Amino acid sequence: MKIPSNVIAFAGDKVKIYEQFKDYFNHYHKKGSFDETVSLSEKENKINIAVKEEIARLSNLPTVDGIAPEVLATSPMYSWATFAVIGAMVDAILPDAIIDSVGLYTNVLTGGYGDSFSIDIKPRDLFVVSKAGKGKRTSEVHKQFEGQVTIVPEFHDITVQVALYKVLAGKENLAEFAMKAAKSLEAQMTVDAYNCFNTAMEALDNAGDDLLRVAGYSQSTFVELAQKVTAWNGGNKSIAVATQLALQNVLPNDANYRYDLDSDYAKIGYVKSFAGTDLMVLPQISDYKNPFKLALDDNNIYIISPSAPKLINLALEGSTISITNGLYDNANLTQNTTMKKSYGLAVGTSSIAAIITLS
Amino acid sequence: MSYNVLVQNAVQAMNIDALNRSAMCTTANVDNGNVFYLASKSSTAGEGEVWLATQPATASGLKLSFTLVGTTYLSIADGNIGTQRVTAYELECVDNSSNLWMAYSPEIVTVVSGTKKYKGINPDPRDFTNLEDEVFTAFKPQVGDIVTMTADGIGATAIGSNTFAVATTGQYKLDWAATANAA
Repeated sequence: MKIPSNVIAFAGDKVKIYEQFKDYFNHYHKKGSFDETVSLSEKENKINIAVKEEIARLSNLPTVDGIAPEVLATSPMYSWATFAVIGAMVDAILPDAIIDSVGLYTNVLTGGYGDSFSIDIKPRDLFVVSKAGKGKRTSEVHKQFEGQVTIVPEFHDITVQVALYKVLAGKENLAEFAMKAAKSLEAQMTVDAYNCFNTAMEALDNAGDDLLRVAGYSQSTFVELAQKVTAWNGGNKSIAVATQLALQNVLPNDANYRYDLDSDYAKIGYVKSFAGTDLMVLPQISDYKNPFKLALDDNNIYIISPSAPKLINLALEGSTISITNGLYDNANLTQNTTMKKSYGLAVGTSSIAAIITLS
Repeated sequence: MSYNVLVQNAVQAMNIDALNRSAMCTTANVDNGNVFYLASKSSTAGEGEVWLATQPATASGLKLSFTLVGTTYLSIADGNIGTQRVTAYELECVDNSSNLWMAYSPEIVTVVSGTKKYKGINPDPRDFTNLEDEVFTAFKPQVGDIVTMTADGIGATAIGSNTFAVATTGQYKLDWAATANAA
């Protein structure tokens, strides 16, 4: 199981716990690779013990057994170690979690703090060949040029707070808030990656030979764009990706079709393969800032080649930082945790893609 | 801001050493495809074969003209999902009786940060210019030479129906004109 280098550096010879956590995360979400011979609840128990040991190791406490949690929480080293471990666990799963959600069109890059990212792009064009006379040594010189896209990541923060009294009363739990903060960061990254992708796609040319954006679905435009994307991506087969609502529009022009209750269309809501092109659902995600809107546009069908170079680059800078103050540090007896993740996004590709916007 | 990108499609300077010179401009950055006089050599020690570039001027003659062969493109991989072709103009030299020269150096971009300079970290030719006070190469366009350059190498005059790119007083860039320069 691949663990990011910054987590390995942090964990030293105790990297196994982060592998266990990643295995647990994949098992919990039923995706990626995980050990199916051990039950989820058994893994949870093992991880709880291992996490406590890891926190004790980092906080230089010989043992934490028998010490009440509220007492442990007053130890600055224990508090620091707890959130250091949470940060490392988030880093262990974040790249994979992001790839799962936006990996079809996003290249995830990781680097250290202070790094900027540059992606060199090779030209996709071929040279134009000309007929020539027989007594001539050279023809006109042709050249092509590489380009570069750079990304300078920016910090994205979230601070959560609990009141001491509510913690003591068992009504609030900072660790739970912290994990939710990490999940929020992942969700925001997913939305940002999608928005970057969608903005670029909706800006594609919609006329002339450059046409890659068509308003309104028809079978012929679908096939035309699918073969254009495949051909210009060096034969890498194109697929259509969209939300389930959008994909249900991919049907033959001739409406004289019938489907039975056992068909793909009735069971999963769209045709899995149409006119030689596979269709794949982009799972909708909630736009949690605007109840109950959804983040992915249900009016767009994207045609991409997943095996060609990705369209969007997501650069993750350094590890997740979590800053937690002491239990009694705030005058109003509250406690804060701030999660910081530095990332940036940019379109940068040698591939082409196309979009059909539904009316 | 992007700088001009030049391709020497077919130029006599490819085969004649004397049509290539080392040059330097002490007053401005000079893009590839910019034109200038090389009237005198640098007097700085160690720059015995470096010529100083000065802007075209009416008094010294502006008879450098190119005719537009056609509008074409250069493939520059800028990372866009859509087209990665930049509009460019193929030009044929029809007159250089004023002996003007044109800048053309390999596009290894120098990134300047404060007083520090870094080479080789950016491959995009649109970020390349020949920096002020640094030695670059220039060639003398000859009648019949064919070059291609992007719009960044041609001045503010709109192309419209103009079919000539000519040397213009007070600027290093060529500019569009209806006719070749007469004087």
